[in-house]
Amino acid sequence: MLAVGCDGGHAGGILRLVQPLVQLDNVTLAFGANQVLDDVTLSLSDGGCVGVQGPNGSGKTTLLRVMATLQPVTAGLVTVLPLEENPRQEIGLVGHRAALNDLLTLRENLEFIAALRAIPSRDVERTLAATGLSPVASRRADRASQGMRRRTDLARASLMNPKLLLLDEPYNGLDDAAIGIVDRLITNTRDRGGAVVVVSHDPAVLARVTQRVISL
Amino acid sequence: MSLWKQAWIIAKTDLRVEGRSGEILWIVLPYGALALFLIPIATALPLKTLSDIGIGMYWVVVLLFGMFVTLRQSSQSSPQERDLMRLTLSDPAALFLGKSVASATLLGSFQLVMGPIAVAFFNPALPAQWWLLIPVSALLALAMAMTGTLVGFLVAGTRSSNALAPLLAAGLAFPSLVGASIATTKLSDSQSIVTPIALLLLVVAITAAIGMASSTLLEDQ
Amino acid sequence: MKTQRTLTWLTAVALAYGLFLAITSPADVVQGQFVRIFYVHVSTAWVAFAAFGVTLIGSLAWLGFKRPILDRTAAASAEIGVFFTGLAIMTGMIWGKPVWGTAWNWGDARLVSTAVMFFVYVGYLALRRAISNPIVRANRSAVLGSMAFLMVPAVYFSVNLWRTLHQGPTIRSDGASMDPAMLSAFLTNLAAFSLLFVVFLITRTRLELLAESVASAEASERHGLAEPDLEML
Repeated sequence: MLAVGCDGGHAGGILRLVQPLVQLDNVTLAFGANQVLDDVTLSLSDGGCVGVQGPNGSGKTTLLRVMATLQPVTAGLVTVLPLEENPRQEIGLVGHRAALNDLLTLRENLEFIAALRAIPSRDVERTLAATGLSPVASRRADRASQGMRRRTDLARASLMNPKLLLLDEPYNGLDDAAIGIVDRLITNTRDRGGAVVVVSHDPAVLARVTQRVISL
Repeated sequence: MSLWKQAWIIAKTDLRVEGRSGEILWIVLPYGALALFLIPIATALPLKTLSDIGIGMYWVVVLLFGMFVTLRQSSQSSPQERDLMRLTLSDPAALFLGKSVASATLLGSFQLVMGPIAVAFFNPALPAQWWLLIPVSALLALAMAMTGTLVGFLVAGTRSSNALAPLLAAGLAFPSLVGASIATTKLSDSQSIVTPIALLLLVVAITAAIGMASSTLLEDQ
Repeated sequence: MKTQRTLTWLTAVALAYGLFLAITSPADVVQGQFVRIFYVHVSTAWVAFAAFGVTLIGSLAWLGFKRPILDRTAAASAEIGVFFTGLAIMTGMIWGKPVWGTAWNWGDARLVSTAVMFFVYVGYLALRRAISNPIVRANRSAVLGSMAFLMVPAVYFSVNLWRTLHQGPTIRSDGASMDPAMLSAFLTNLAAFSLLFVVFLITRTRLELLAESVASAEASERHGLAEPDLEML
């Protein structure tokens, strides 16, 4: 059994009784004969940042999807953002592949989500500027570089201001400026009282940005 | 945000994407028109017979090639996009509604182009009240759009989805085809088309109900 | 098991008696001896409708209660329904040739719509084969099974909607339009084929359960876990 308690609270050793933003209790997930997650227990409170590492096929991405409430589990209890009326709307998931419509421009991809969330278009422009995408925002996603596509994904996550931010290999293929965008996104989320989970195969990255690391 | 507003945003975006893709305009329409040419060549039917079956052939082309409209590539989403929609929408039924409206609009446009082509080349005897076929066509478009959208959700991520989707959609669209066919026959006989209209409305209502009710269920991959 | 054996014997007896009555019942005034195919044709068609009805009920029940037996039953019933639909079409064609002068009439609404219904449920089975995740498969099959059932009333009422060669309803609300001896033969065959459906359904569902248990035991063996108990019907 893997059990990690991670209060993610502020430094200083103050004991606080908090409702965790994410609570996984003895979570098991199997796809047929394939055991993907085996008895995982973890707790994540506001302001926390947890890293998840493991070899290929160890279930890192699946664990993120479980926490995003996108993947039902075979056994165990999953509680995510229990105090929110609509938890899914407070979750931001940035996968290792950008979730963009190739025939829309980078700006239109953001505007689409902003429209669905009733986010003003001025916020879209502000986010594009903050992520350095303004000069290329009118470019179609299928004509944008991999780095631009990743930045757009990150920009969208920033735009949505999630309480729970789930990042799957966020630093892959990014230049220094884009790495700074990811770092700011993590910091802003934590400062707002949210929580972050970062999946990475790079221990150095996890050591830099997270407080604790789970190994699958 | 309300279900209807989100559905509208999704429909608008879907249509914009299709406008850039050009799949319907440059591929499906020419393919459907080609089918209308191939049938007379293959069957070598007399002109009078071709004229008699002209409207029927039109409905068949609308059914079979309309499937390509509702199941078009530009409407397909990657697993990552589907996850994003699940996290963004306040009601998953908005996705079904939005995509159905977009598909119905495209199907209606498809019929608007194919109709005159069929009339021009087959010279069918149109009923006196031929304009009543317009609401019939609109209802057919809506019924097929909803059926196709639902089928698209059913086969998403499965093996052989490219072949499986048309098989399912064409079969399930049969009641809609029956409605359109009966309406045509009754109009030609100068009879009331209330029954076939009712049938089409029933198909739309039932498909809409099933599509919206099962939206959450069909999210899981 | 004992109940199933008893049921199987009962079905065999019923089918034999139905066959006897079909052979010994009077010939039809118009169709002559060819009317005897009617007893099988209509019975298989009714059983097909019933089978798809069970698929509908199983599908809706799965959506409500999420018990695996419900999904298994829905799927098994759909398979049997496809089989009986094929049988109904074939016997209909055999009957149609001498009686109508043609094995297939495109103007016959019920014939054509039955054929389309056949393909719709073939599509249902194809969808199940295309999905490996059992929960996703059950969910999607349930939705399709619910929607596909629309074909059944479409087929049944097609004779009222279209100009058609097909015979109208045999048993109507104002009474049967059939000779009592023929009615007896028909009802007996209907009951016999219904029993046959039940036997098929139980057997096929058990087979599916056994197949799942074997697959699960093999998977457990590969992962070194204890073997699960076989849950028998």
